[in-house]
Amino acid sequence: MWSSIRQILNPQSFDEAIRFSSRTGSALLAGGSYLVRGKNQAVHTLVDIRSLLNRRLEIQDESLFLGAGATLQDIIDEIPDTICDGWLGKTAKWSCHSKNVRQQRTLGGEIATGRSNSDIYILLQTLDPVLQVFMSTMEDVPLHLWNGIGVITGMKLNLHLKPDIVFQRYSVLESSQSYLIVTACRFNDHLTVSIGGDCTKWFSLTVPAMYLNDLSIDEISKNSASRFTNDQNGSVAYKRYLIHHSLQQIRDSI
Amino acid sequence: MKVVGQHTTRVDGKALARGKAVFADDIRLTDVLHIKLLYSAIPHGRIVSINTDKAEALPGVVMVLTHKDLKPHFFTTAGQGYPEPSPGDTMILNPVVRFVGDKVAVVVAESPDIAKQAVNLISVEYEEYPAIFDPEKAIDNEVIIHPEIKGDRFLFDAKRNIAARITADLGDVVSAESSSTFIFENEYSTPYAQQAHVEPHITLTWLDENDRLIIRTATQVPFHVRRIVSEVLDFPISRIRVIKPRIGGGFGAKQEILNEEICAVVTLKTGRSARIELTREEEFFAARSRHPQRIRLKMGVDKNYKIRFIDMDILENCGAYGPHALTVMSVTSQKSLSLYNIPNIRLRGNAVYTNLPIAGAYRGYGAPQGFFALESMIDEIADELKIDPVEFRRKNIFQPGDEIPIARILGEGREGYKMTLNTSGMEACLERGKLLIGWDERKNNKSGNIRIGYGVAAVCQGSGVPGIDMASAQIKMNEDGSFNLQVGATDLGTGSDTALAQIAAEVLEVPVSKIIVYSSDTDMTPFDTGAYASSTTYISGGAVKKAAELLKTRIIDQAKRIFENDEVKISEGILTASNGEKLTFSDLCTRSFYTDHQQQLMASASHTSFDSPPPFNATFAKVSVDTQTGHVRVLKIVSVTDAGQVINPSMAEGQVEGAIPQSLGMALSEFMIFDDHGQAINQDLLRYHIFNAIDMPEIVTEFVHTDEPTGPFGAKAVAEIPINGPAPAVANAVFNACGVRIRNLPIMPEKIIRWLGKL
Amino acid sequence: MKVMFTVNNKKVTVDDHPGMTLLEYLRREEFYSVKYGCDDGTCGACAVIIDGHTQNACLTLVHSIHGRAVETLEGLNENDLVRSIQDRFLTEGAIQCGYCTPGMILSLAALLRKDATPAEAAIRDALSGNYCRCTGYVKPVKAMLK
Repeated sequence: MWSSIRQILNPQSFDEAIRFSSRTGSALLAGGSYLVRGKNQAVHTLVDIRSLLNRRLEIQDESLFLGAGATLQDIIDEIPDTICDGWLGKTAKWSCHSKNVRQQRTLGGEIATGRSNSDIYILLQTLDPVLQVFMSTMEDVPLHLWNGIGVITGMKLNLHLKPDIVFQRYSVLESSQSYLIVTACRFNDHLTVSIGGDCTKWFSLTVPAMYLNDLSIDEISKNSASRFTNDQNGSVAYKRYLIHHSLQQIRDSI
Repeated sequence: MKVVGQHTTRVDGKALARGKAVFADDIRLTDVLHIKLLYSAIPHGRIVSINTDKAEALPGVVMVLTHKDLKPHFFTTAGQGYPEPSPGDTMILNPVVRFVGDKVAVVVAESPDIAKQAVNLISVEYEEYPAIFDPEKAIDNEVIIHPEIKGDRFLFDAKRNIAARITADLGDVVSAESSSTFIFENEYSTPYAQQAHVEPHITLTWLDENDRLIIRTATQVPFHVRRIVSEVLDFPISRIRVIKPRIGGGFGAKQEILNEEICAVVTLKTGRSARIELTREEEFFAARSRHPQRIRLKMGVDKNYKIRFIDMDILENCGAYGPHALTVMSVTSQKSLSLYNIPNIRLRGNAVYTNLPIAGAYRGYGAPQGFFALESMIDEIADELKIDPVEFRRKNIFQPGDEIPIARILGEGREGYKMTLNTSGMEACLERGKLLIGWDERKNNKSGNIRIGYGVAAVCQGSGVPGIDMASAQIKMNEDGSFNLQVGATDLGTGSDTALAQIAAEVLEVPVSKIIVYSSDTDMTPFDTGAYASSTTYISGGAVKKAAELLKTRIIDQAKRIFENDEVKISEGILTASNGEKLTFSDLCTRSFYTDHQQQLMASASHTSFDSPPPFNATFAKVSVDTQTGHVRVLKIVSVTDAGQVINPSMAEGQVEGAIPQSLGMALSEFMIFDDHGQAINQDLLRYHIFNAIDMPEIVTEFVHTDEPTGPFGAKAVAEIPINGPAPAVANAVFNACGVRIRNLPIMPEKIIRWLGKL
Repeated sequence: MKVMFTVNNKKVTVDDHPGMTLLEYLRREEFYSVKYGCDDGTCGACAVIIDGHTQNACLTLVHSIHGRAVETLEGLNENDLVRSIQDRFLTEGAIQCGYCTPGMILSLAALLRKDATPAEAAIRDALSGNYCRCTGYVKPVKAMLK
């Protein structure tokens, strides 16, 4: 029982959704897998936008359109492996090992929640799709610039760039959440590297394609490792070591 | 044999497959009260004051109990036979709290949600005491965790924080040491692991129409629950009935009086039905877990590679209270010291209190810890001496006909009994396992970043606790030739109802479908100590066999009377007189009920044993180690078991298959972490990593047949033994793969990288 | 606030606390095959089928399933597909304590509706949201591969 909930509203438009959810104690409800698990007692109104969101996954003119209402399982089932070398599906699985939960968890919810240890979230941060966000009107915002305000209704991934993607994740078991994620996408002349996992905040940087060398790898490892702590998965030194190792592999492959 | 040893569908299978309402919580109680507990926020201290006014004032709250409301009485929560060989160091609610998670108050309300809200309205003022978190610092620490307990014969020395001590000597270790050519000494340890059964602890209580207290609970020990609740609440046994419905897993965590007494108190005080169910989070800190142990081993080997002596020193962490403290340590030592024929043994063990969550019974019950240490050291010795690990084991294992001297010295909490090994399939298990894993591959050169390694562990367990476990059964006949079999034995998913039905069916020569099993109800079934110590097949099965055999002779005698003929043969449900006259079971019973020499054909029997014939197991592991990241992946586990005559092959395989991921978890991914205030951190299934369907390696399970003369139809136990081997086998495989020896579980990637000098 | 949906093809109207989960509702209505095992949707003991896909009832608010179709094992016991899974489980010995069994069966039924002869990886993936501590998943997977 989520005892603090007093009402669930069903807005008929994104406009209404924004208005309802701007009040204190309100939260947007899409799939609900995160919200209902957390049962935040400060939330008393849920604004159910599931019926407003579209679930479509479409390729059109060298762009991949993903509706914010698409579930993580939809992504696995419907996006062919030729798109981004199948990484969207693979990271969707790693983000959430339970098929039951994947069938409930929406892409929009995953991005809005923005977990540092969500593999698909970190991948998308690296690919940087353009989000369609409704604030007072519908606007296009690149993911890395989104400030967390408004309702994500969908996103568009530019496919013609055909980035080279390397994605490495470290977890206790295959089914466990990643405690360290190191990924890079190379788009022709530049490279975006993102590091996430059980850290205070995930980290991303975009550099020229040939940027990775011993010195820069050392520096990136040192800086990003400072966002981790000594915990049951290992010491900071170990995580730095793994980041270093992954970055070397990235340098060697793309 | 027609039934025993044959694949038989579980007698309760269909109900489970169809999701029928058979578990404890699957009933609707009228007017039920819900119970939630307030737990201590500090690891050690005294409750100075506790204010429950706001909680009691919340609408829907019926009652709040604190230590002031209950008569102080010390008992043990361990579900063991009387007198329980565990310290009587627990009170239902104690004014002193001893770990983060110790019970402070009981809130009773009309709904679980109201109860939960009320818990947050209780304010407690503590006087905090210093706390002990390191078991190595517990003995003679100036902080005493149970200062108030005096004169408890099962609490070794409260003033020194020693809950239990164990000592055993065989031969002369000192002179054996001087005559050993090679000496090895090392220290090993295992962590806090959780049983993690999917159904939480759940109890419901109510008063029936005769004002008897009915306890419907997920328990492995219904009779111990009845006795201990009676003792704690000073309420007569004759007015208590404990019913065990289907259980969603226990693995030892439900061999405990865990909250039944609280639920009963609420019913007795209010007259209403009551319910308490632990949340998953509470399962992690407020239930029971495996005893973490540190084991120091010193072993000596002569020039013929025979082990001359073993010196074992155990430090066991009980947590804040000591249920099963002594007996777990006894099993750790007795089982691991019963595998190899070592003439000189020195055993010392201390079980100590710390201000951490309580350890209890968990499948294997000390043996997994013991075998992790022993089988790791055996492997280290084999490696040092350049002898094949399997060969080294073969040279030293006990052989059929040998007496196992340590068994006489070490019982479970008391002196043991003489044990002679009647059967041993240990060698055959090792040979078969070698073939199935591809043992010869282990010698291949290790190169590249990903190294493949192979490891082995040889293990044993027991079949019941000799001289302590007792079971009984009664069987009565029905007029259609079917039989009601009533047993105290507890099926916790292990399939014992089915196995016992098979034993009865085999004796009575009827199909299993003719045996209707009813189990684990203290009113309706005769006594059984409960499902632990791998006693159900061996001891409860023994009782069922006796009862069925007795009934069979009575059936024949009755037929003789009816035929008026002294020569009667029985075969497959038909009785035939020497003149050819026939009676079916159905005819016989119908006539016995209604017309001829009237009686209810029935029989009962009890069984106990001073034998506990060990089952044997060889577990082989194939792993891959990424020497750049330290990550270990288990690729394949081969588990070959000698369980004597296997009663039900698919159920026995199921026991092995389920035990394997529990042991792999202990080796690689399952361990509780505490902050420096003693609070458990990973209290959910996202952070406590259990092997999932996608994590499982390839599993190969086989059985080697032996015939145990003392077991029903030659059976030995199978439920616990398969959990002993995988962890040491994996540790040994990791060593074979990359030369890294991990002696302190869990095997963490960082440990491997550091050992390899990469960090 | 009222919400209407179907459970095993029967229309129900619920007017209860908006924060009530589907797990609480179903158990209150005596659909006991749907079970409690954890607080975060990890164990899958409460898995039900909603509009053809499995979902954890503990993470689903009753008021968010207006107009949708919920299926539990109680309503599927006479279904041929489910029966075949149950028979396979019983023959193979894939059930021990049985607590995770309804969730597993529903996950597998949902899979079989889309893929009649799934490969091992798909079976394990379908079971990835159902925790079992008794079987090691060995016989449940084997049962489906036969």
